[in-house]
Amino acid sequence: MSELVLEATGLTKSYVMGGRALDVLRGVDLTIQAGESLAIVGSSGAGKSTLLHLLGLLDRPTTGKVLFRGADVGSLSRTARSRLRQKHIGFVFQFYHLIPELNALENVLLPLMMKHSITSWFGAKAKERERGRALLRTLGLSEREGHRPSQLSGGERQRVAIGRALIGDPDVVLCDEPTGNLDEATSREISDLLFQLKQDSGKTFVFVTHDLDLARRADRVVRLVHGRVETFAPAS
Amino acid sequence: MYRLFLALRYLWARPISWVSMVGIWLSVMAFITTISIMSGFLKETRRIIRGTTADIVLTPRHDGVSRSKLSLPSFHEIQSALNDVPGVKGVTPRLVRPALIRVGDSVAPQILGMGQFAENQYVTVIGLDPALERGVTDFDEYLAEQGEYGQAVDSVTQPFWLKKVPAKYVNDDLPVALPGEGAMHFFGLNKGDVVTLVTLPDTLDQDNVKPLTQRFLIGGSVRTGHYQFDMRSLYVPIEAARKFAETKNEATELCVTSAVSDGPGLDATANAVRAKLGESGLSVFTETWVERNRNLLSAVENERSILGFILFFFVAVMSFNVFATLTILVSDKTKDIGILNTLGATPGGVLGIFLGGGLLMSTMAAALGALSGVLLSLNINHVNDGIEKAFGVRIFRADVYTFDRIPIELTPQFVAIAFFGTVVFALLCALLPAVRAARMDPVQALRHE
Ligand SMILES: Nc1ncnc2c1ncn2[C@@H]1O[C@H](COP(=O)(O)OP(=O)(O)OP(=O)(O)O)[C@@H](O)[C@H]1O
Ligand SMILES: [Mg+2]
Repeated sequence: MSELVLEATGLTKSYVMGGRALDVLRGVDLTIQAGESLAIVGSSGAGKSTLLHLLGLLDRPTTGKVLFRGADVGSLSRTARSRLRQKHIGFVFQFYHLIPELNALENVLLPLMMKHSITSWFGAKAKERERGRALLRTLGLSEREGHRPSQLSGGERQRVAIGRALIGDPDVVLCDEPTGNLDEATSREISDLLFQLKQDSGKTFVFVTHDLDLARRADRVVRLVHGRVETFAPAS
Repeated sequence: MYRLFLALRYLWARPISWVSMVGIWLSVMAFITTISIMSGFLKETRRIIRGTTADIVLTPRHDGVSRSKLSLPSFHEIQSALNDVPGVKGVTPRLVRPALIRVGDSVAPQILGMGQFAENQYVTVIGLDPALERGVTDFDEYLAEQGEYGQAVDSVTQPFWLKKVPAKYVNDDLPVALPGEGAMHFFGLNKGDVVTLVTLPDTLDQDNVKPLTQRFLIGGSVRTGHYQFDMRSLYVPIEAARKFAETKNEATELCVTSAVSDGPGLDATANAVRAKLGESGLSVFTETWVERNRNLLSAVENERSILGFILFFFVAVMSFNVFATLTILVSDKTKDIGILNTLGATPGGVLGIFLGGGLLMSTMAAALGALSGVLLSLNINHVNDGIEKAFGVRIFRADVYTFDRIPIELTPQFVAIAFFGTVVFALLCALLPAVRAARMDPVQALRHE
């Protein structure tokens, strides 16, 4: 019996603009098992990112609940949700979102630095840096650790972002269109890498994607239409 | 850990943060240097004033009407009254008298008229007893110290004495006078010269105004360090002064030396003296040297306060740079703030990044400012000379204040005020943008273009 990592029940999200409510999500029920890979597809503006932010504890639903490992996170403070996110959740975005002032290795190490105080960081620095380097090696970036994001290609940047999401050893990795900004060949490389990492680590992966090729490789695919999810079997 | 790391990286890459820091640095430096110069100026002014006056001066009380009563109760009476007053170290009498001076003795005294005196040819004759002064006032030290124009007396223990009286005057048995070194220079005097002093008697009879004259032999000069004072003063033995002025007054003022010569200790002694004199029924006006020179001293002190106030505002305004820099940084880094949120940064953590930025900027700039302010203060005279050599302009003209060097008094408290004041101001300035960053909605921040 596999464990439930994330569970959404009756999630709704509305934005009120100019006196009119825009209902983006209208009752999403979703369960995500530990170790599975789930792809969420849907047309642009369907609310995929909105849903992912809710699952990642970045945002609060208008109504409904998000349970993380069976516990309702709705009542938690921002700080408490931040702590959960730090320990258990990794994010990968379409536009990489690396910190431009930091090089590849520093970007990857940032989540580790967050866990340390100044003094404990200096004790652990050598070990943690080695960990970061090893991860960059796995990602095929050993020659690039000193490069700034602006000196890297899109594919390389996304690898760094993946490294940053994984270094803290999270339970769930939430990817918002991870290949959305890459050419076909690079997209292929990145999805290969993601599934390879998933296989090796056994972590839970959620992909929001337009890339049917990526979606097809997931254990399960759901589609977001009219603010609700429905199971979806992409044609091969 | 990541807070300071990110703050450092963010600020390092931005010219505006460097410009802000230079602003803070220079303002802190200016504050410390200015305060040091003003404190030095104040200290020097006090020192110079000190040279011209005793700790506490007793003068006859007069109401402005009965000026003829200008006579002090008997010196011995006062001295014995003050004997056991706590804090009083000694009392000496002085007889002070304005006089006209004429260099040389070629003109017979009886035909000296006012018409023969150019303007500025007046001096204050100070009659004193060197033996009584010893250990009570600083008169001995003024005898020993000789500047550019000074001429040392032959004997410090017996200052009113000339080893070699010029042959011309050997038989005249003239009293010896010691001008201030400025007077020596101003009147072109030399040791062994003779001057003629003219004054008027204590009481004037309308029908018979008879000026009093006396010749004095110059025996050397005295330097108190107060240039204007030294230019106008002439010390003579107190008996010679009495004789010259034909007065029965023993003294016109009494110099009281206090064990503590400044601050509350001095005031305590002065109050004890007042109380004792009051008890003894002796009507004397008692004033400390600080009270006598209140106007000048508080003018300088006031000037220091005003400059300090202005410059401290300057430092505060420079701290606003921190506000500007961080406000721009927070706007620029909205997306990064969103990302940091996804990585698990708490609101407190985000606050820490930007407060840390303010702290980094202000401590570094204020430390540099404090260090360079202290160094500049200590080397201000070299800097001044260097600038003069290089550009031919003298920025600080110390001689305006009759100092030969720029006086400096470095006060650790002011350095601390400048440093911590800057850091506290900067942190307050950093608080607003930092709170804004911490309260930013992570999703909005991520969507930010
Ligand atoms: N803060 C907001 N205020 C108003 N409307 C919003 C806000 N945030 C999102 N929306 C709206 O919610 C809807 C869903 O947005 P979302 O970004 O989740 O879509 P998406 O499925 O991720 O689209 P895409 O595939 O283009 O990324 C959009 O119509 C968007 O305009
Ligand atoms: Mg989206």
